[in-house]
Amino acid sequence: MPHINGDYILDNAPCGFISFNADGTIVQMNLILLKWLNSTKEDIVLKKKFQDIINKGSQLYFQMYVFPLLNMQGYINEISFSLVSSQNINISCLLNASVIRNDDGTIHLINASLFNITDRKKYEVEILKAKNQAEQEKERFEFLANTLPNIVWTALPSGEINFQNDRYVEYFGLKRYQTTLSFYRNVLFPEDFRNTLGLWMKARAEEKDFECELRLKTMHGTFNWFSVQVISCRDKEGKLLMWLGSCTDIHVGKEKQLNVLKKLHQELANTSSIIEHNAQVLKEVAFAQSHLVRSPVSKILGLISLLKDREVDEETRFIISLLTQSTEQLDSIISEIVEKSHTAPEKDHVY
Amino acid sequence: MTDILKRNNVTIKGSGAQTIIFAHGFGCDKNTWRNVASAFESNYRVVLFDYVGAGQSDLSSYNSKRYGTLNGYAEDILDICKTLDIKQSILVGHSVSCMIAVLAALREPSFFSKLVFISPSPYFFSDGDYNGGLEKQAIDELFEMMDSNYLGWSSLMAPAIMGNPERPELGEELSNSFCSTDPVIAREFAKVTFYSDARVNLPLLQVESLTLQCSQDMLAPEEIGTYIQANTPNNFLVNLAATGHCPHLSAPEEIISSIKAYLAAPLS
Repeated sequence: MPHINGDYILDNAPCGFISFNADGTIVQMNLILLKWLNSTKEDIVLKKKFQDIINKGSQLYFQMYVFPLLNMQGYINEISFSLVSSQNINISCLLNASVIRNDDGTIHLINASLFNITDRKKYEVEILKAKNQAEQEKERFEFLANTLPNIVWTALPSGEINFQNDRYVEYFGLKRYQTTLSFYRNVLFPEDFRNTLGLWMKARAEEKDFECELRLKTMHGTFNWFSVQVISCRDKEGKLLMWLGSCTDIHVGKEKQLNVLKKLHQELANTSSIIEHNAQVLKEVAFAQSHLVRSPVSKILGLISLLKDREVDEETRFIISLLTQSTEQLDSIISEIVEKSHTAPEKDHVY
Repeated sequence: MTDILKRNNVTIKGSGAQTIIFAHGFGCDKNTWRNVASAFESNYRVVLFDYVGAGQSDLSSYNSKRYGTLNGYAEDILDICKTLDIKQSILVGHSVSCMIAVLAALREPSFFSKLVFISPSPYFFSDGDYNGGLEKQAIDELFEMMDSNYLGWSSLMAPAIMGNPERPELGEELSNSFCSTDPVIAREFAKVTFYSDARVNLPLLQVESLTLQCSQDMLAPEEIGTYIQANTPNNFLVNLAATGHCPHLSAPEEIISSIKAYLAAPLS
């Protein structure tokens, strides 16, 4: 059983321990750290500097970040470092250090503990790789989105916008991520604002895609027509990940469409008035003509009644009865025409 | 109009006819000058600032194009000089700020009467007879180191900070744990710092300058001081006893006395 005192604990602690001067000269190092470096106290203490036992990148990092920070705030925590052993093997470490100052505030000593994180580092490298990959994917998406001629944005499931492409920023002339409800109230045509807000809130509540056409204010203060499509993007389990929205400028097409519609309405109105006019003329003609025809028919009927009072043979009476029948038929036809041409035309029938 | 003083987190202290500007290096902010700057407050107007992207500067003013070359950073200094109507000042730069200072002085020589370079390097790599001190592998390792130390830094935070200049506490919280806030900006600044070659600018410099050269500085071997002196008109070289890359932090007294001696009795 060894004698357990402070030195024994320090030497056999599960972490490296080192003390060095402001210029880096090492004045103390525990056994475990010497073991990691594959060195002896005689080789290191007062002979080497802290800079000599870390790799080049760590030296630069120490000179430019860590030393100024130690000097200013008196401590640093959890700095990732690489030690280099006498066999030139890198050992990944986490470094915590604190400063002991002289009376005049200058650095007397820096005490540091080092944790070997070689295994942990492998995991970190994986995380870093994944992080870089994610960043690259993000950049790729942003590049693509910025190349598109459409206004493109994405939003979190809550509806909070977290990306706007260059076109979006240019169109509204704004700083990124500075869109609020009042912003949309300002750039959307008032009538469209109400409709779209309703649609968007409904889509968000139901987590469903939606599309609409609306007018957005241009830099010149006029409004342009856009076709808006918002798609819900989901993961494999169907959970909503984000919203992807795009606005396509359809102003020219929409204006044309509206003009064609307007023209069509106008032509229809013109045609209907022509038809109405023609029908009226026709009725007037029928009315006038039927009156003209009616008077000779009345005369014929009168003459027939004179004939009826005369003594005639059986054959002539039969002919007179046939004549009466035909004339009455003709009279009722004319009456019908007169009656119909009297009725006012009903507009609904024209359309 | 941009508020330059707010954008660059400028502080003005002390009093004097002449202005002394301290420009921090890569990886830190104006706080690195705290042991040095106060010594000049009784005789000079002392201007401290953070480059856009560093410290408590306005991160929303950062754009990769402007700060994609050292010129963008030089413009920060010139913007501050114009705003404060600074002429004939002393500009003290650390590390990469030395070459930024050269660019600023080439653009507006009348703004500066003297430049002081602390641990300067016009080019960090070796090239023929020139020994920059660094190998590309060290820079790759540095980027790796930066990445692994920013593991907990969520890129989702960036838009929150960028879009909320009115909420600086978002940035503050992060900068308390690290000198530089945004890892993307830190990475870009690192690239500009390490991959710039400012050697061609040195012979053009008209403003006189002082180099404070440390020993055992892996970012600037001792022969760099000699190289700068040989290639820059009116440059004076002082080899310090201090070691490492940040003598203004490790040996502030030596820095203060060296600058004061130079300003009191110019070696020319």
